Amino acid sequence: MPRYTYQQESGTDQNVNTTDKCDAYEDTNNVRRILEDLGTLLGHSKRDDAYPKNGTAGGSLTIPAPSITTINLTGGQIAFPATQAPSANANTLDDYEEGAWTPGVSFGGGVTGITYTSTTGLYTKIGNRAFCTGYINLSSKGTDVGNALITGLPFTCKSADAAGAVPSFRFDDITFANVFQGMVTINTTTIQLTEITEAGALTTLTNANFDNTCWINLSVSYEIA
Amino acid sequence: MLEKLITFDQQITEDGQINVRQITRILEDGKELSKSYHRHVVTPLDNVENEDDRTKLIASAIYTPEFVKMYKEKIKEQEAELKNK
Repeated sequence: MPRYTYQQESGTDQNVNTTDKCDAYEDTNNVRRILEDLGTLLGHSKRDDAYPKNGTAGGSLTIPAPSITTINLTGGQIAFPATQAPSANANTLDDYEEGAWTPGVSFGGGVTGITYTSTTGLYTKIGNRAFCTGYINLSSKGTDVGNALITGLPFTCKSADAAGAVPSFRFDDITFANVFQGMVTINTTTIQLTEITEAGALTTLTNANFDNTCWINLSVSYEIA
Repeated sequence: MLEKLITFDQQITEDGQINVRQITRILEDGKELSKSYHRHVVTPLDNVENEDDRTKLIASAIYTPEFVKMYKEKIKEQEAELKNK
């Protein structure tokens, strides 16, 4: 027997009588059943008051556990707004963005005469974290002298001791002693480059360590300010 | 008709750095076919000569000599802290 039935009034008697009242009562019950089943399909109890009261902007839809444990996106996409709606909640994903950045090199803070064969970078931002890759190929290291920096990261690194992320590198024609290191400097968009000897002496790489036509591949993820 | 439209949006951080996002849109008869981003950050110590007009306006409004001085002091303190570690 079908769960929902509806009896169409037949004949010419349009007067409301006891039978008609019973029919109307049954129809009402059927409508109630339909609504309850729709509610169940949506994962809501008819008593849990979890539906948004209305569709105004800023409302939220709660799917109470354990009614629905998996959300299947048949369209395969989640779209975030172009401008982040930031959340302070540690459990809330509030942003996603893909894009490009242009890495560069500076020596002593200067870039005089530095030219590139190629300089490209890609990033993906997920929540408060940027995942970046980059490639720099110099054609000239220019004339400035001093400490070497990789510049141009797409977002400022968070200003916290624990935020100084350590990149991984692959490079050619850059000299160093024992171990080559790098770190995203907190509260900046730069990566400082250092070398450390087995004896534990840490020094910063300078223009002298760079050949005119060196290249660097890098990959780093860091927390954004 | 295909059209390439480049715009910029900006976001200013607490200490006055400007996050600049270049948005490149490819339009066909006004309908957006693709959109891509390029990002960089402008600090109070940077030369903004090659920035877009709105970034220049923002920089000229907030990067007063006093503000730049405060920012330099903050960077110096930060560098000193790093050296001591």
